[in-house]
Amino acid sequence: MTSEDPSTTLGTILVVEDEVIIRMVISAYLRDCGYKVVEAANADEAVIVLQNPDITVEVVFSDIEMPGSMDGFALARWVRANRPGLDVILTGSVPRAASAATDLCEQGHVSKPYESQVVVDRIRRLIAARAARKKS
Amino acid sequence: MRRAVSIDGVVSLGDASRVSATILVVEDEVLVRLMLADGLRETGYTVIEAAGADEALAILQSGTKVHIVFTDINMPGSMDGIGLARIVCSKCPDIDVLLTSAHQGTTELDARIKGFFPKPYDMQTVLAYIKSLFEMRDARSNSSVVKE
Repeated sequence: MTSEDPSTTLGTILVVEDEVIIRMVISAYLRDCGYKVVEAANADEAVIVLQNPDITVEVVFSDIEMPGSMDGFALARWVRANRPGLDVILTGSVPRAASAATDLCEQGHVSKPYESQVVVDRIRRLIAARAARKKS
Repeated sequence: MRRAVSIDGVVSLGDASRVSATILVVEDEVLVRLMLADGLRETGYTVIEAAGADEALAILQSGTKVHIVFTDINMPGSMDGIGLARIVCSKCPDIDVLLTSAHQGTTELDARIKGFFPKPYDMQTVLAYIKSLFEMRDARSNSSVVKE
């Protein structure tokens, strides 16, 4: 694994999305904005990435409805249990998901279809809030 | 800093013939995929990641410009890397296909396949080979493919 100079990126975002075209678009946009992006096609892949000590992830941006042993809710619960300091943003198109997502992560949920810039703004706020907490 | 990059990989440099060098990496093992994708991005290539042949075909069918497909052979899903390579070679002859596998010499490779890397492969070897493929592409055509 290559080591990243932290001064050259704004942080690492784990994008978890099973629809490859959607994942590609948001990942390309985030890279374009200066973030390092790790792509996972489902929650199982995301857990493998999060368990790797060589990869430091600042924010997880995950779809809710995904095939596999875990959906986005289960992934958010896994993160809460195993990586309590890590911020999670959930996205999905099912209306009932919104309130459940709000319960699971403070920053709640971004409805699909989303604008890439809305996601970037949310991520930027989360990373800024964490930096402020660290300072105080 | 923001760069003007559109989703089809065309970089706005004031010259429509200059297209960013794009590699589609198809690998179901996320850490293996990540390591190769990182290495290629650090070298300056645009990388698109697919976790299987079905994802790779969805990318190719979306019209996204891809120059090289680097695919694992043994993958779950409706199709393995050999099946993907066969489709790419016949439907998209402009795309160079590279294969990789932990199982060596089990399959007779299509003559149109541009290379095979037994796993575990050396990253520098793959990078050098991809660089030479792009140089050959440049020599074949007048349109230049540029790294970002």
